[in-house]
Amino acid sequence: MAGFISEDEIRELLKSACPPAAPLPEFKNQLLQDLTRRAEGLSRPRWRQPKLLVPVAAALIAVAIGYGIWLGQAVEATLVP
Amino acid sequence: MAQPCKMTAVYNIPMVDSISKTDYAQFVKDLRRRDPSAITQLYNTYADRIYSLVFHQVGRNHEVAQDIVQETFIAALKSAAKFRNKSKVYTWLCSIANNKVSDFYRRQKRQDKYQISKALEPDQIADETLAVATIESTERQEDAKQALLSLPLHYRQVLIFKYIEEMPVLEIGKIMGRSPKSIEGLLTRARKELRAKLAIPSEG
Repeated sequence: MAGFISEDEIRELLKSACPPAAPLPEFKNQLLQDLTRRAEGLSRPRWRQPKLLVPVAAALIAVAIGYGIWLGQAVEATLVP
Repeated sequence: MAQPCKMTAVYNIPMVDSISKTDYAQFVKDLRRRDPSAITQLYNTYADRIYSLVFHQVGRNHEVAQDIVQETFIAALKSAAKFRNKSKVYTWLCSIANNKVSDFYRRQKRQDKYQISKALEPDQIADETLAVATIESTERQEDAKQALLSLPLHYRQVLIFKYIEEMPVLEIGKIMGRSPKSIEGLLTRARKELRAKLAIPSEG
């Protein structure tokens, strides 16, 4: 059939119409840095991740303060006759 | 200047198709742990291919392609732990990219943020990004570009996977979430539509 386009011709046409493209180097570097930073955060042990580390540290500080207050009161109680 | 990446392991994966089984297994294991060096390797191996794939799907718009590639790799990083090694890493990345492209067009439809005519405008912004082959664009090639861009997204995607990426139907099915039979049907309809756009009689 005149003008009939075969599958091979479609392949050839599309390949020539869509040559490989590459991103700009600045974009590539920036995204790589971003991904590496994110990956470093995610690959830490769970307890070292900021999401958990902050509440755990806050809880430890609160316990330490509470213990300090309790200890102060206990010492005071022993000193007062 | 690019910050040097912390490399704790080096995989011998210049191209996915030629890597050894041991290297690949270790790579997948580290990837699932989201080890920074595995993520770096994933990115260095596939970023250009994924970019090229997305770039042609979104009508060769440099800005949109960058956004989608960024979303793709961030999503890949987040879901790396769930990668089950049932498909190739590249197939997995393609399916994420494919979903992101579909999301982009859905968002575009809803918000009308980017004008479709702008997104589909060929080569104006992105000429400098065509790293390989600034081929002399013949009239026929230009027709093919326009015909491809005017197709519905799923037709464009299946044609790109089949004829540009040269993927088997089974793999395309995994990427597009369809059965091989459904992909065959989609391909037939996409070819028919493409031929019609090119004003050439279709087979049958």
